Amino acid sequence: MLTTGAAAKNVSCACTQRSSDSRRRRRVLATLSGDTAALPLFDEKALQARVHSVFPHVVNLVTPAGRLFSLATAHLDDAPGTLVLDLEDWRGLRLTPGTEVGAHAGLLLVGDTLAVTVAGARRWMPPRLPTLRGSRLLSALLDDIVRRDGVAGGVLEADNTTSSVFAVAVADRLGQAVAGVRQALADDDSARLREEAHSLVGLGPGLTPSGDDFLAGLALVSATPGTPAAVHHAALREVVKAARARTNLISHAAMDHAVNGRSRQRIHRLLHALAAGEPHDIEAAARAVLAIGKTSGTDIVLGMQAGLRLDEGMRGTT
Amino acid sequence: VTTTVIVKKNTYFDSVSLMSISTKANQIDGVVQAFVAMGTDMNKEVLRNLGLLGPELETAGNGDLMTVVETDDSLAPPEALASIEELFTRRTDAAAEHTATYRTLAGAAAAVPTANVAVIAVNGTYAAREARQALEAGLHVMLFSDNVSVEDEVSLKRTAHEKGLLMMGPDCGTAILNNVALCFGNAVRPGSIGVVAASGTGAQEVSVRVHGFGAGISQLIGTGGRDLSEQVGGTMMIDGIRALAQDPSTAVIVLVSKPPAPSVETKVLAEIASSGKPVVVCFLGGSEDAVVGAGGHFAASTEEAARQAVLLAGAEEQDLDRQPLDTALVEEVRARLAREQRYIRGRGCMRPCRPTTTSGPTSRRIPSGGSTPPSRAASTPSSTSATTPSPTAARTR
Repeated sequence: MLTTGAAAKNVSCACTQRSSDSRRRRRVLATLSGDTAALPLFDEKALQARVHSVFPHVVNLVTPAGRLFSLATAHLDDAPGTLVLDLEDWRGLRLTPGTEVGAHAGLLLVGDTLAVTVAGARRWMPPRLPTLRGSRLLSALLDDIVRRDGVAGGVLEADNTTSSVFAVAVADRLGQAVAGVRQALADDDSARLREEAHSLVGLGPGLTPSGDDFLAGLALVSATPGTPAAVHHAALREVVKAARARTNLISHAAMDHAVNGRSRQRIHRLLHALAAGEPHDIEAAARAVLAIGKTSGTDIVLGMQAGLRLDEGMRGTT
Repeated sequence: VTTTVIVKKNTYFDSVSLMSISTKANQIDGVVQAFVAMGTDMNKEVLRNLGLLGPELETAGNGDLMTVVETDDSLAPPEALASIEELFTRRTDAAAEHTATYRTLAGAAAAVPTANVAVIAVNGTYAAREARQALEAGLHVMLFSDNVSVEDEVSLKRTAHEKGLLMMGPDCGTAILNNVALCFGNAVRPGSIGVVAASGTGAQEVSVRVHGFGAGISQLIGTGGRDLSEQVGGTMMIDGIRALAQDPSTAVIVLVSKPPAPSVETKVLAEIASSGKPVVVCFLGGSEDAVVGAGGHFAASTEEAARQAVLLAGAEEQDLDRQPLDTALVEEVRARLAREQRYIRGRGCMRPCRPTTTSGPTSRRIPSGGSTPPSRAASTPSSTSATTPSPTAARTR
């Protein structure tokens, strides 16, 4: 870990770039926008974090307490715990997991080669959730969009003929669990929902397993006032809490934010489009969500759709 | 069938990569089936039900990446492992192939340290600020934006002058630096004629005429249309003349402008003598006596300016093609006219920020883009060191 003294030395190295000694200059990356909840990181004198994982467009940092923060490249949307940086691609910077991350004087110091400044960054907060009524129409619209433009292989079943036995078996399990969740929602049965949702955690292909993505979509809708899933919010919160030991940190962080009503900007945009009820806007917003990851976006939308579905006999049916 | 298992501890690949690795692994000859998944309890339970959960996989944790490969007799497990391993490492090598766009000039300049020119096209409100930042960062500036105040223009040009940088614009739409055309530049042959122009269309016309006469352009520096006004005082044109005087690839200098302010005209013409190179002056409405008196070559039109420049660069009068109209092409087009069509108008073909071709108001042969691919070898006009102009486009949020 960086001691304060070491950090100070490195900063002087970063800021007095004219010094011609042999110490390596840090590259300073500017933050374009950042989650207000992540910005205080920069002022934590005793910040001890590490690089958790490195992707082409996102670098995740983890604190000793297991809190995850993300540094995203410029084309990504705002998201909880995320700083969007003036950077195109992380690959040229050759960061490796485990690299120490400290903070000093408003700079986030990553290893001894990088510094991130938040000066001038636009502040972002997850938008307030709209009030959203369950609707057979909205649910059917989302279903149509997913069937037309969604990516199969996760919750949306892939063509089994070319898949491995594992893929086929996972698809079966996902299918069963998702059907179970939908039934529990239709029956307004929180206890069964808890059980079925629990069996989705960590299930499926991808960095964020498909089951987790589906749950994240459902959890966010359950946090949205007025939705059919809202009555199960407490049950889903329990599932997400227990999920910490059953899936990876990145996937869990997304579910945890979702159940607390926070998500990526484009997912909020879809929620707001659903609340406004304009089909073209819903479709455009849904497409942007479908573009997340490989099957993740599709799985998230299907989770949201499950939470909005209004079945015969459910509360609120007219 | 042999089953081989790889568990990578705390290894995170994005889902797109995981899917791609999985697909490619299944395509390896001798692989019966392969899959890649995170080592969560639920995924392990699926494997257990399939009878595929061996002791190695049992130890996989939530953050670990499990790869299971089943191979037939034609592929030995170590070879299978090596092939799969290669799929994982190949992902990270893809870094070298990406192209990048940048949101800010500072980001672009940091990422491309060899860049020495910033091309700025933003709303005029922000243009001066962006240009100033670029100059402060040591970049030559081509400022495409207009609606920049004269005060800002004067201040930017003063800064550039002090730093030995070019401040082309505001409202500068065309330039050719070391054979790289910027914004609406023309694809003309490289050559020994350098142009400094306070008129974009005039500059384009001269460069196309020079090309038509069989010669070529070393540099074309736009100054912005107000450079020769009383307030701006010709700062950029004077610096441009000095830059071309020092540029070893330039043998003849051509100056082009709309009618300049008289005091500025005098100042600019005074530079001719010290340039050490023949200078052709095409200032619309300018005085021949003043130009000749200053040691320059007077041209009353852009075509005349091009002709004189080409001759001064060593061409022989009789070798010049004085008929730039491609009469065969005109006839060909005329033959296709419908009865009610009476005129053959010019044709323009413009693409921003690439070498482009344009033609004048009548149909004529267009200098072919294929004849002059931009080379990136010469020195920048304002410096003697060999550098590559790497235009860096900026866009503000």
